[in-house]
Amino acid sequence: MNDENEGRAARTALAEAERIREQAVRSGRWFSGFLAALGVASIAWITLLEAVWPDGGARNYTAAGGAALFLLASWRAEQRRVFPQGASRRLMVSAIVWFTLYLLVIGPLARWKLETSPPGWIAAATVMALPFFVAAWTARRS
Amino acid sequence: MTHPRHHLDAVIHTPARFSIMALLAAVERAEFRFVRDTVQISDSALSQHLTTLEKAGYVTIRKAQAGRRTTTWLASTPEGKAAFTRHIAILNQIASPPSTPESREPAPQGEQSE
Repeated sequence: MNDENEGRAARTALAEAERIREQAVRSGRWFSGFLAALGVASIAWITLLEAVWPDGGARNYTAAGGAALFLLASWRAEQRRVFPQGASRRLMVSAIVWFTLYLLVIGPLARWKLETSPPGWIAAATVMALPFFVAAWTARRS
Repeated sequence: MTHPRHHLDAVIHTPARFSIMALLAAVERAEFRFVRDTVQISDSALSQHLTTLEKAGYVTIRKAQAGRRTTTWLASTPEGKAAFTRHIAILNQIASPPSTPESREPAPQGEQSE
């Protein structure tokens, strides 16, 4: 095979690799939407938990319902056929940061300052959900 | 100087394995059926190529139970990704036209040293 033919074969192989890479990346796009949906769900969940039903049995049901919803979302995600690069790392880091903010930083502060104000808790929950939105944005761009 | 073709990875060079690695290098993990459909090969052919790639340490194969269904997850290893990146770099070398002395622009006459 001469150099010209080898060059042509190499270009064909590179084009094929690019086609497959694009298809794989397109198939992994769902993940950024999944992270954004988790962020929105966490805002709704925290607002219900802290401002709408801050105590009593309804709070327990809301907590359990939210946990069940997150488990269901994880199970649905596992049904997908492709996970994009860094998917597990992005999900784990954003979940840990969100949980830490809720449990140790913004959660206690908001409970002390905002008590059960719905607009206040929506704002606080939005700040806490930022790791999910940032992860969704970076996943979309990569 | 040896031709770049001598440095191509023999394991990845086969068209089907090249396509499998191109897919797996672009994702964290992909399901067996997705790889089969994207690369457009049969189940048995994919299994054979995956065995070769796994023996070379380029991919990992993990079976997971999802309800009643068993899902086979495929992922490339760091060694596999590195090998594929090297392979692509060599293909780029082969694909780019060689720079011959005739193709280079001659230096302007006035700038030539005596």
